Amino acid sequence: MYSLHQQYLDLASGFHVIELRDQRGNRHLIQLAVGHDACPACGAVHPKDNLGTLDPAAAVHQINQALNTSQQQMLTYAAKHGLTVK
Amino acid sequence: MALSVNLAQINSAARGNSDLRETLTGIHLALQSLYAQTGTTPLTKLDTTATAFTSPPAASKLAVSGANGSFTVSITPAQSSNNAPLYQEISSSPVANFVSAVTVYPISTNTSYVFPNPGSTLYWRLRSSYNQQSWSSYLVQPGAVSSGLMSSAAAGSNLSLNQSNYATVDSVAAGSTATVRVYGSGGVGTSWTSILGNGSKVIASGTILNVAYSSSGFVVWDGQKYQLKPQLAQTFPDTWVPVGKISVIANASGLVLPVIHAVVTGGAIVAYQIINPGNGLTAAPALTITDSSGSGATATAVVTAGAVTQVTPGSAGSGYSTTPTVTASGGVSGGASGGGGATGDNGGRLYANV
Repeated sequence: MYSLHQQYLDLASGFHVIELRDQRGNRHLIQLAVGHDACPACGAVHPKDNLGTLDPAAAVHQINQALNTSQQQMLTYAAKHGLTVK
Repeated sequence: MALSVNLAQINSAARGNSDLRETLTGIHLALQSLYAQTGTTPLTKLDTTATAFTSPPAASKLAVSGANGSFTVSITPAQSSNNAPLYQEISSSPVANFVSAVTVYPISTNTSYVFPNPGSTLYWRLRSSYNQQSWSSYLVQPGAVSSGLMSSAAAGSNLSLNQSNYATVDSVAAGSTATVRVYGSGGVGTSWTSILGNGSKVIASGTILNVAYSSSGFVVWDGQKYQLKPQLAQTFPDTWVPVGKISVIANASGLVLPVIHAVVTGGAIVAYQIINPGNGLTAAPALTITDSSGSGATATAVVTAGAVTQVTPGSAGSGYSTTPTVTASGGVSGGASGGGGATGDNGGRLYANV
């Protein structure tokens, strides 16, 4: 099962980085783009103005659930076919 | 007609020349001896064209080596006494007994080949023929051959090196913004492998939230996390790993999925009724049919000008109640769920010497 391992704000890239890890140390990174938006054509930056609507906890909960559902499906598959889980 | 000369002709021709008489007499005697052995028409035109050889030739020798991302094949043809062209058919397989995934290369009379195929390990065999119909038995090179990895110096211009990256990058809608996902061959949430030269590393899957619709950028792994850079040049630091390009399409907030009812007769779904054709569809939505008792029915929607115009029944299924539920999903090209999907350009496609 995945759970929160660490989180931090990376000012250089403008990402709120949330690291999940499962029982085997496998990582999944959630990155909230909280920095500026940039124009893909010219690179010009625009101020980020929708941070008020972001809910990191909800995002983590939703993705965590999805990951664990997938992992459970994979483990069921492995058990069904007699596979060793590494 | 038989060539002949008799003694009367010799005397008439030689007259007093004894040397000539002796020579012509010798020819006469030789011809008489020849005719006695072969009949009266021993002189026939020599046919200098090669006769058709239908029996297979002896096996040629095969030598395959691998280096720098290519297989080099060298053939030493079996001796051919008739100068007939000797055709060679080379084939390879990842398994030693050639029971699956066999690649047969074009038949040719060439004796050396170079097959670029980076990062492959294959078994090789050869057979030969004079007429491309009757073949010698296969000569199998003992052991598998590895082509090795290709160095950038050996790569041709504009050659795709996509094999070095096994990441998938896509995006899906998530409310007012899109979510970019990076994952491996095991699906969303699984790690992926990046191969750099002789080394490889397993990199965690990731999810980038809050990405604006109608934007595009390049995803790069900086060793700790993913970054989304609007311009390719921003992904060039030496220690970073290019992951993929992402183009997030427009928000599909105007998307209206169709409403479809199933018509049931005798427990089977025989037709579909379009209650609401939907709006803003850029791809056929997937139709899922659920019911409290029935199963097995399938159907396909046809989209024209953003709306469903027809539902094509597949299997009718059986055991359905009178009110099965038809659920439409998707409906936007390039996205796994309605809107915000990514278009094209997966991951880490690197080009050499561009």
